[in-house]
Order: sequence, then structure tokens, then C-alpha cells
Amino acid sequence: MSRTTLHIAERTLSLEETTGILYGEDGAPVPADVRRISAGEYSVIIQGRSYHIFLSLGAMQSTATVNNFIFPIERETLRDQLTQRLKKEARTENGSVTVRAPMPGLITKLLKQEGAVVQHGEGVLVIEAMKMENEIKAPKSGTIKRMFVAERRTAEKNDQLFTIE
Amino acid sequence: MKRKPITKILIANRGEIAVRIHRSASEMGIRTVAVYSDPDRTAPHVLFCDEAYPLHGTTSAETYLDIGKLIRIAKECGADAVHPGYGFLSEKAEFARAVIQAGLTFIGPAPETIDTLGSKTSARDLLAKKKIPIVPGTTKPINDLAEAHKVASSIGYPVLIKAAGGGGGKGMRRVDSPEELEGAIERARNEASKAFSDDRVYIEKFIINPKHIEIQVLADTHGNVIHLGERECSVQRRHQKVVEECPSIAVTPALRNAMGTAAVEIAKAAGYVNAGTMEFLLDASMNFYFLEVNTRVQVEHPITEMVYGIDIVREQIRIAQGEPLSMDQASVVISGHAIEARIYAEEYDNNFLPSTGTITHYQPSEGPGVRNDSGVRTGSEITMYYDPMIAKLVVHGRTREEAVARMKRALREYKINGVKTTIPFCEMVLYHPEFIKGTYDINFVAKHYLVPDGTLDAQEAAAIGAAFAAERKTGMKTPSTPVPSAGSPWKVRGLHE
Repeated sequence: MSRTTLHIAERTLSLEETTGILYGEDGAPVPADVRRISAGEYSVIIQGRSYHIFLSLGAMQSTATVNNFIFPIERETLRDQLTQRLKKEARTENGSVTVRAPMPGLITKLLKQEGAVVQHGEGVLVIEAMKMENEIKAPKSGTIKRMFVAERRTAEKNDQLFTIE
Repeated sequence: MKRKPITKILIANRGEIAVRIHRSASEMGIRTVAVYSDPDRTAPHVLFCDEAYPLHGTTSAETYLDIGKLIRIAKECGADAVHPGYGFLSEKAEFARAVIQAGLTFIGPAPETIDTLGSKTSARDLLAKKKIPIVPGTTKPINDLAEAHKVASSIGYPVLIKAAGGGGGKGMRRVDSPEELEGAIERARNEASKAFSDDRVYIEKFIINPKHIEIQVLADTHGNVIHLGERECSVQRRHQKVVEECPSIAVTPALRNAMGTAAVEIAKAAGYVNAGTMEFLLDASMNFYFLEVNTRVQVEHPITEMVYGIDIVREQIRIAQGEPLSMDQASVVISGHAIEARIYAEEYDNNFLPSTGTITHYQPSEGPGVRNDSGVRTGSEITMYYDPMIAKLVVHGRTREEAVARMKRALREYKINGVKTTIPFCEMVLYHPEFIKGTYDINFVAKHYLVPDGTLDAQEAAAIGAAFAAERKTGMKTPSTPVPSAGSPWKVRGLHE
């Protein structure tokens, strides 16, 4: 009963947290030999196939790195599923989109100001990181309802940049 | 010219190239001096070099680009030479001049040569006069927008806006129509002024689907100039090279000879001394056009080293000491094939955006024919302050086929955790039929929109899930008594003795 759903990239597994038994996509328990090598570093052997896995578990997001590909891991309890559904409904009612910083950097130029009308794909601001200038474009047409950043200010990754309505 | 033995080199750089320079110098019995910014206090170049001095500061401008600080440290520590590496001040004549004025040896060409060739426009001017084919466009920086419009429409769109004072794709913009020109110039100027503190730009015809082929040149103070064949660097994204190979599959011995001869002529025309690279575009009809000279050691120099068995940094130091080249053109022998994959801390699945963070695990590839030049270690912090390239993986094989197979193996073996890297992207390149055929050009990446597909099969997902379950179990153990620190048997025994 107390199974938690694990979303690993586009795959879905379930985990019985009390026993630690993992069920694969086919519903059968996974016969895995798991060895911890160092913090977050694992060797897993399943039916003779060997995997070298790195995990980083965070409060916000957990990921696994395998062969330098990074996969998101989401752990979802029943309660999480309900709140997710509610949040999703709230989001679609309100037709605004908030664009977040895709990388940390310095805002070098605002091409549009708050209140400006923008077309889909139009540049809104320029963010500079590692000596490259990157134009952040409007993901949809609308009005810039709010500009969260100013020129010469730095933004962290995922900081809110602007909202289009 | 009189010989001036070098006993201690200050390396005015950071990252993998600082480590690389240390290695050759150290093998020659020369002491090495590292300099470092605050975030680089425990970087590998600081750990490797014999001496290390702080530059006090964080940004490039207040550290690795501060000529005054670098010269002061060099004099105070008793260095007799400075190696600039690539990037930073390596192509700044002003820096070379300051080094020489301080009575030290600059390991690179003379400041006057850097002035002429480092400015792409004066290099174009010089070579146009020498009848060496250049890409059509201006031979002077453009003054204003009106002039830019006139030039662009006379050579025909698409055109390229390029920084007169730099390279590496910074300050470079493709322009397809007159409407885009103004914005592109502005953006290019901003980038160029930040990257090279020089906002001059010029305009070149955009050559459709060329290959990027460059020739390595070595020139000593005794008038000897030789070339070490070509490198093909057509796998580029955002005008930055990612995978390079030596030799190029497109270059026949006759073409190599023609391009090599042109490169040697360029060096001679400019009175060039030390190692330099002449970059060319090669079109589909095997016409080559001079692009620019890089008056420094190139990032991708190791592939030439592996194929020709010559240590280019060592030659640079020997040349700077006034020694003759250790080989002549006739003794330059090509052997096998080498490939380099540049490993950047970038989001391979999201437009190569910088990926910052801490490298929590770093385990480079090993084994036959593999060379790894790196500037990071486990625990390194990747910040937004410096270039995101963290390592260069280089392989050598007897044939191209063997080198390709070896690179695939080595990329798969390379383990980096904590930041996203371009390793999955490089793997895609190595498996791509057009790369394998060798018919790719500089639009290869854009044309095929190579986004690595990180699809998981059911068993891989199960393996991750199993590790995740184990890690959560470890994390959930919060015993009332503290867990004894994982003491090594050595320590335990020591306590009881």
C-alpha cells in the first residue's frame, strides 16, 4: 500500500519504502545488486549488466548521472499527486507565463520594458554569462506585466526574469 | 641572435593550458610559477606549479587580465620569462611589450607581429598585398552603420560581423538581411569589448559550407620556418570548436603542401617568430581562403603533437631561448591520426548554456592512446567567471578508424558528476555518419541539430531506481548515537599503538 512512485526521466517505477523493494515498469521486483562506492556514487548490477551511477539528492530536485547524461528523479507520494493536479488547474486559468533565467549571469540590456507589447520570439533582455551574450526571447505574444530584473544586475539560475500576460 | 636561457617561467593563465605549459617547462628543468584568482586558489595549476602567487580578485579583468599585477609578480619572484597560454592576454601586444620592457622574455611572437596579425583587419591587409587568397570583405574595421550597410550589400548577404581584436566566436554574428545588421553589430561590439577590450568589428563574406582547416607553423629566430600540417576544426557550435582532428580527411598530400607553403609564406611575410596557427576556410571545390592568424598556442595543439611527435610548448620555449628549431621540414613525419574532444561545462541538452556548480566526481579516461589535458579535479567549482572548457580529451590511433573507435571508448569511460558536460554531445558527433565519412563542414552541428537523446531503457531506469532507494535508506538512518567516522584501518591501528 505504502508505495511511492518514482519518475525517472520518462520511466515510472514504484518503491516500497519500508522494505526498500523496487518494482520495475513491469510490476516485478527488480533483482539489483547495489553497492555504494562513495557519497552518491553507486555500482548497480542487474542481470549481469553493470551500471555506474551518480546521484545528487536535493530538497527541490534529485538527479542521476549515467554516462554523463543527467536524468531527473521525482519521488511522488499520493498526496503530492493531488496537490500537483490542483496547481496545474490554477496555472491554466491564469494565462500568464513567467520566464526564468536559464543560467546564472549578468543582465546587460533590457530590450523591452515593463508594459511593452511583445510578439512571440521577440528578444526581451540580454543576459551575459561566461563572456557570451544570450538574448532571452518572449515564449508567447502578450504584454510584459512585470519585469523582475534591472540592467547591470546579476541573476541566479531559475530566478524570475519577466512575466508575459 | 644571442641565446638567453630561461630558468623560471611565470604562466600568465589558468586551467588546463596553465597545467600544460607547466608540464613541458618542468620536463626541461625550468621552474614554473602559477598565478591565481581568489576562486582558483586550489585549482590544479596552483597545485602543480613550483611556485604560486595570488592575483587578489575574482573577475578576469582584476586578475588574469591585469598586466600590472602579472609583471610585478614576475619581477618579484625572479622569473625570467612569461608564457601567456591562449585567451586572456596571449594576443595582446601591449602585454608582450610590458613583459619585454620589464627585461623578461615573452614566449610568443614579437609585439609588432601580434599588432599586425592579431588585428584581423591588418592581417587581411598584409596578405591581400602578398596575393594570398583571403575571404572577401573589409580589410579595415568599419566606422559606422552606413559604411557597414554599404559593404554588406556590395559583397552580398549573408555576411559575418567579426571582432577585429579576437576570436573564439566572441563578437561574431551572422547577418542574413540588412534589417538585422544594426542589432548584430551592437551585440558583436559589446561582446568584443568585454572579451578583448577592443570593440572594433569588420565584415566578411559568409562562405557557404566551408571546412575549417588550420596549419600549425613553427618559426625560430634563425630564419627557419616550418609547418606541421593541418588540423580540421569544422565541428563547431556558436563558432567554437568542439571536436578536432589531425590530419583532415579532405586534405590530400598535395593540398597539405600547398596550404602549408601558404602558411609558411604568411609567417615569413609577417616576420613571424614562435608557434602560430594560420586558419583557412576550405570550400567544396578545395579552394582555400585565409581567415586569420592565431599568434599563440592553440587549444587544439595536442592533436598535432600526437601525430607529429613534437612537443609544441617545448618548441615555443626553445625558440624564446634563441635556439634553432629541433627539426626541419624534411624531418617532419606524419604518423597515424588524432582526435580531440573538448569537454565544456555546458548543458548538452539545452543550447550549450553554461552549467555551473561543483564537480563532485571527476574520473578521466585512461588507457592506450589516450591523453587528457585538464584544469579541474574532484571538488572544483565551475563558476560563471571564466571559460567553461574544463578538459580536452585527445586520442591517437594508427588510422582514423582506430582513433574514432578509441575516442568513442574514451568518452564513454570519462566520468564527471556535478555539472553537465558536452561529453554526450561529443559522443553523438563521433557516431554521426557524416562525421565518420569526413564530409562534414562548419555547419555540421547546426544542420543536424545534434541534441543528445538521453532515453532510458527500462533496465537503466531500474538501476537508477535501485541506487536511489539505497541512497534514501542511507540518508534516512539518523541514529541517536553519532556514526563513527569511517576511519581507515591505518588510523585505528595508530590509536591503539
